[in-house]
Amino acid sequence: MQRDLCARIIRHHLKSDALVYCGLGTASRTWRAQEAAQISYYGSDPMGISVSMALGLALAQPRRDVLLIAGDGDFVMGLGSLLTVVGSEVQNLKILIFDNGRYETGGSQSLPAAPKYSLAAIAHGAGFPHAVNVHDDFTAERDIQEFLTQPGLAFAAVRIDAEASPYPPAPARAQVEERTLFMARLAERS
Amino acid sequence: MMATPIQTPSAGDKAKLIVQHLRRAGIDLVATLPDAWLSSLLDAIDADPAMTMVRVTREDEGVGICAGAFLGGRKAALVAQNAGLLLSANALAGLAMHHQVPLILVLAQRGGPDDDQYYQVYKGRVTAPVARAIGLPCHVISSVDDYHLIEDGARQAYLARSPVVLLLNRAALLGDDARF
Repeated sequence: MQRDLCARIIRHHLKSDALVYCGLGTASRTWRAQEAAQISYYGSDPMGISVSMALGLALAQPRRDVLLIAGDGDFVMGLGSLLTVVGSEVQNLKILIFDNGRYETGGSQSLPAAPKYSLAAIAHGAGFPHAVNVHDDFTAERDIQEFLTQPGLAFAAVRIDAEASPYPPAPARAQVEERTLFMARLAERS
Repeated sequence: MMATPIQTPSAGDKAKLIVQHLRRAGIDLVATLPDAWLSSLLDAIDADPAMTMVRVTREDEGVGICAGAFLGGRKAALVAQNAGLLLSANALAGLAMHHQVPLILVLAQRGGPDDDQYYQVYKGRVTAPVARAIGLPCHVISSVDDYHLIEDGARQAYLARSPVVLLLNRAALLGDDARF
């Protein structure tokens, strides 16, 4: 499916008090375009760090659900983090990966081994109790809704169409400004 | 002349003291990756019900966890070997420094004159220079008398909105009976 449709489905079914952590690149840009009500953090470099940052946020905010939205290139750079997440016994973290097998912002180069692997199988093998590949557009909304409403830890890799994702100009806010804005919003609603 | 004490602090005694200092610094979340010198400290962190211990597969995950915890309002530390700083250079520079995130790195300083392994030597040689190149304040903890640097370092990290590196040598982590 198209990234934008996936983001709309997430926005429609995600709890309003959930926190969203976006990995860098296309994942951030797609979610930001939704202008969703949930307090959202837009991550940056380095690649490979988004799962552990989302885990830290979830451990610090145990009463809220934390949803990580990240691209597959970012995600596979930190695959060991899946073991860390499972080992932490965190319950309020959900991980959704845009799975298109490409480093889209970098120029659409293929990921290693794409498309032979199954990200859901990797997450399942790491011990995630709920791990799905969302490959069928006809059942995608139901699959994503089911993923988002799991009572505990959950993982979904959503097959995303190859789309142009030109390298954008620098956004208005620098990363430290993004961080302080997120923390201020969180403090307001705590 | 005073007699030499029969009882000297064990690694376990020192570990419990270090945990007390971490708690006094407001830290209750610790990302860890083992080193032989850290064995007692990791046991003490794990045994403390006030501490959340998260075992990581790579040290830069620990930097990410500490940064995410700060976003959510919780103070965290990474406890690992000094090789973890070398591996985490990108996360420290690109995430923690660039986003101005405070955390402390409590690192076994392997490879100094108090070490006995060939493969550790380079770590002793390059860790502090790499930390300085990234712009991280770096303090050496050589004995129990220096443990106050844990709270001091955490305060410095918070005020500077930056990671602070604490390098703990053999005598700061192992029992006094564990000399060569």
